Amino acid sequence: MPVVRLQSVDGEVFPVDVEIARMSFAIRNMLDDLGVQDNDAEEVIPLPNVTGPILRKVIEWCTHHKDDPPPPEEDDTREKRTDDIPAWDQEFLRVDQAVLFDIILAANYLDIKGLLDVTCKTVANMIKGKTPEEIRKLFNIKNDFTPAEEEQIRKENEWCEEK
Amino acid sequence: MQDPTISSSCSEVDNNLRIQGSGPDIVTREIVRRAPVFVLNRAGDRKRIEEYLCQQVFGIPLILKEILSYLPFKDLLTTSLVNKSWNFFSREILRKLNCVAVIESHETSCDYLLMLNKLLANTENVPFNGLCVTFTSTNDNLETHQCVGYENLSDFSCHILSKICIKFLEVVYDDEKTCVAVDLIRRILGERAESLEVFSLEHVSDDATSLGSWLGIDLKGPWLPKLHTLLLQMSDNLYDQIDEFKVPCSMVEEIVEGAPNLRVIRGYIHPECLGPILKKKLVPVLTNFHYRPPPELPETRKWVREFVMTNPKLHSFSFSTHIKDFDHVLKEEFSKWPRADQDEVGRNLSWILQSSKDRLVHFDTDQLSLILMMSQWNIPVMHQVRCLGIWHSAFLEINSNVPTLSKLDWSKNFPNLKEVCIFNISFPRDTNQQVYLNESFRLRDAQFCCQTVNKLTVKGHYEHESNPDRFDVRQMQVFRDIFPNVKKLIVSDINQFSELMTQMWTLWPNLEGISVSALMETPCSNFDSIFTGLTPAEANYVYENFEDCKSLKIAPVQPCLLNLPKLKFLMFTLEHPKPCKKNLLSDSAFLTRVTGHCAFARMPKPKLEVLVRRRTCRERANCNLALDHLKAFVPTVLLAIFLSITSKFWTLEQIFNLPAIVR
Repeated sequence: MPVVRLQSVDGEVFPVDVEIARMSFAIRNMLDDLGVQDNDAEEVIPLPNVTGPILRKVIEWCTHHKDDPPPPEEDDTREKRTDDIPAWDQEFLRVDQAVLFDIILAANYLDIKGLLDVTCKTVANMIKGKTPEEIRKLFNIKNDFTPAEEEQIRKENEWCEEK
Repeated sequence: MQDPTISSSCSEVDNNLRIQGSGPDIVTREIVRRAPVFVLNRAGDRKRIEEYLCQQVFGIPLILKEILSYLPFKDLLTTSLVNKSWNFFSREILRKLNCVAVIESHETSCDYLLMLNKLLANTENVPFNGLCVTFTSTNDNLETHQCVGYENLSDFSCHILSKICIKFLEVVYDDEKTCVAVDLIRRILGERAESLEVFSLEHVSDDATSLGSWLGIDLKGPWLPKLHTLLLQMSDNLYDQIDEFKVPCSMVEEIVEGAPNLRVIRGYIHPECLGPILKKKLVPVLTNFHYRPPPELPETRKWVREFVMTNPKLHSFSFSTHIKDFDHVLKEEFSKWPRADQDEVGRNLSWILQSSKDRLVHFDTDQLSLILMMSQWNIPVMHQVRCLGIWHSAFLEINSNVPTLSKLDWSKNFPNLKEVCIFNISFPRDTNQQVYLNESFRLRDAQFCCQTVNKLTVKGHYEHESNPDRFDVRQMQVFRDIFPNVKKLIVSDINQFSELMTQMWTLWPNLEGISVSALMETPCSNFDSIFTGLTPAEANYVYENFEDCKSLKIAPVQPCLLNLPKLKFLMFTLEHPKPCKKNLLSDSAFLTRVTGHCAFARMPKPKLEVLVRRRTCRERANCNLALDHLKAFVPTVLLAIFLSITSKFWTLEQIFNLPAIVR
């Protein structure tokens, strides 16, 4: 199986099957742009925005999902569910918030749609049912509304009904 | 993306990638190609890292939008309040979800419009993508509409029209009077029809035969070019579907003709409306159909035949050989039809069910039609049907001593039925039952039951005078025999509260949830005895000597709440027409601490939850339905006000989904 060597920001090098590495559209484009062939095993792909431990996690996820069908195209009418996270992914993402967010950033940078989807669903599950204040506290978000602005939004919300 | 000067995870995570905190785990690494990572070994580093990563993640619009896109409607209203950035994207998603501003337009309609218009003056990022304009001439309190005089519609609607990109419009208008709400609808359909994507038409003025003439606007050509969804007479309450059609077929035709990109039609389409549907070849997008054979014009019968031949794939289907006459009486004419015409209806029905059997999940019919089709016509097995609604006559089943439902082989036609909704109505006494209940059916000895049903709804008909046609408590015994495995029971709009509750404890021993809405004819009756299984004298003695009796374990002498050990949720919606007598005891007359102590507190854990919605007397503290004193025994939540006993009744699912603050 041809491999490609991925190098993290902290210098760690990970030999990875090309097939698995190409699950990242960013790496796929790099390989295509560089004209790297399957047998160029010595070629190192630097990933300056991903640390070694996170890259290891990303590779672990990609390896587990290498045989998955390609994710469906974006469709606004598709029902967005969060109760369909596979058990393996749930266990895989049972990590500290900082690590989870690091994985999200890596999935975004590397353009791995499946991983980004499942991590975003995980964060959405963390948000569900919480009050604005609880969300701010959970994610260290500053409330930048004036009291008047906040009141305006609350009043608008009172008129809202889902159809 | 990763900040080159900071890293959360290159050094301070263990093999499981869990942050262990600062200290010996932390090492400095040399970074190839990039600037070195900060050494993070001070207290508070972890918090800094998390803050930094949150800023990074939520600072990328694509990620924040993706996360928010997984949230349901209610949570998006909450996330709109987190900060400005979250508000921007939450509102954007809400606008895609058909988030509608609902303008309730009864006696205060004009005020509501003014209020919304004024509110929108102060915002640019509205959550709405549409409007629901509801006008009813009277409200529950029978107050008539008082439309304020106005000269300029713009005073009511300038911000509404300029700030809401109206893609969704719902019209519920049931009066011939004109009002500022109608002018708003007229303006939207006159000027904004091109942007409409979803149009919901539930009721229109009785005298209106066409939208164009009602609104005084020209609706020629493709006047709804972007419309993809038409919603007609949608109702969670199956009972309403028997009601007369509130939107004239000519209006359906105007919309269908003017919407070249229509892809979805939901809500009940009647045979009379099939003409334009067939002409535009829209049968494949039809998911609901109400087949109501008589009275049929020859042209309508031709349409039905044509419709049947196009193999409709319905999700929801309603069939009745009766039409609603008035006051929940079903009038029957089908039996007067020639036999050949009756057979044609049977053939049409079989074809519709045959072509829809893999999709049909919801089926409504009246009791006599159900018997007719299940005993005389060749209908297919409907594997997918989960919910069956039956317009049912308690009189026919109980008082005329003609058992019918128990003679139907439920598992043969509905093998996977989960839910049955019984809506009590009346058949006229002169109904020719022979067509439906023929000799061979009457002589059937077979007794069938339906093991798969676990949820039963029985809706009476709210009246001040009891009407055995509309609800007879004895029918519950019949339903128990036919549907023995019910776990969720909803009984609504009844008068016989005490009779029902007396029976309730022994009907279904595995009940997990009960919801009862009732009119309390005698509001000062005490129900301790019924709930606790004590005799009235015993209950009264315990009440008067409560402190002394607290330590006693008093055994019930008759069935009571304790006969339902699996019950987890009990809800009452209670109204009493007459005010309570003054000077009530501190404990209410309805249920006292005796019920709390001898029944509620003795239910197995987890504790039974009790929710009471009530319409109180003006002097709330003296209302005999006040139950605050029971909070010591059970998680009881009292909602002081509800709209009307005849208004929408809640399903158990809706109740369980009530936000915690309400429950």
